[in-house]
Amino acid sequence: MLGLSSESGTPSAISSLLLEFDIALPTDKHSVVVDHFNYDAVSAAEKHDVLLLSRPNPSRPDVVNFFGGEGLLALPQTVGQTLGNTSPLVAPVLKAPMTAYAYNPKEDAESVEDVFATGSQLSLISALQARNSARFVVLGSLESLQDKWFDALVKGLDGKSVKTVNREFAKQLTEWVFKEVGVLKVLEISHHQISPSTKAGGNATQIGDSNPEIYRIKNDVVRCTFHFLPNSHLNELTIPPEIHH
Amino acid sequence: MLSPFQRIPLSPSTISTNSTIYSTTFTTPDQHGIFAFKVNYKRPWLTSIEEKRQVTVRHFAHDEWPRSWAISGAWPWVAGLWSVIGGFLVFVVLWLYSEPPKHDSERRRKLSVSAPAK
Repeated sequence: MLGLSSESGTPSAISSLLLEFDIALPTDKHSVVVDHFNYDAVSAAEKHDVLLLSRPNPSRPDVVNFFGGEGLLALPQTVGQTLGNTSPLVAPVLKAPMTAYAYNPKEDAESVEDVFATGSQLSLISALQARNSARFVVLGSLESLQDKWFDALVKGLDGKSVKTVNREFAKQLTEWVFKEVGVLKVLEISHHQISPSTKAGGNATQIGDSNPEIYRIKNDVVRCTFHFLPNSHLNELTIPPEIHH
Repeated sequence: MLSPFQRIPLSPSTISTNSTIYSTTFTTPDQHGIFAFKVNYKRPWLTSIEEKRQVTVRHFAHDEWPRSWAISGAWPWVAGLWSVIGGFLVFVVLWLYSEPPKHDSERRRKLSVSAPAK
């Protein structure tokens, strides 16, 4: 898990490492994501750099959403990332709202003319899961994990004061990245023949009926059983795996 | 079956509190060789599963082939065989039953009796 902050800037070694994962950071180090419609009116009334977002919806209807829920998240001083679309391993956890854009407060207004990325191109939190199931999360706003923001009172444009749900969201995020949820395991694989063997002692080397090393073509009916250990979150796992025979 | 390789969905058969058993039933293909039961399950946000078990599929042993009467496609030829056998038996019975014609037997007797006398 890697936390970024626009306050301190990101070393170029880290941004080039992220570039290898197809996660691109803005070229200037102090770039921050601002939004003039979803900001916290209490702490960032002028700078508009504390984003108020609801927790993400599932990226696809058929996947389990580990990060969903009610409530508002506050993301102060966020570094936005853009994800390359060639890698199937990276995915955004939380995208910026439509009206957000990245800009450098240290520069003048002309930098707004060539912005790094805007709207939902910007990913505020991105995740990477490698082929060997190694997990990695880039959190754009390290400040959102501060005690101050865990249950801060924020005020959106509608003028209502709400408590942030940063604490719950940080829990969901770390649960996922440290493999406490979303872990599938195969406990046991077994296969056997259903129809009884016509010849007695057809395979002299075999012990018992289960998991034989040899089957006969046609006629034989084989039952394959895969014993999965999903987490309790995944009991509604609906898409069955497939066997290639 | 053109391809011996099949993709078969696994359906949950037993669900316990912390695990699920997925299973399926199928017929081995009409193709002998080395095959593998393989699960390659990759879904977003879940750890990937790639499991493989290799099995050998052999062809029929010499005494495991179906007999000719069990193969419906062979029935015309089986019927041809039995009709020839049955026809021959009917012919033999008819042949043994039937008496030679009268005038012909007279002529033969005459021939056989008179021939040495010449």
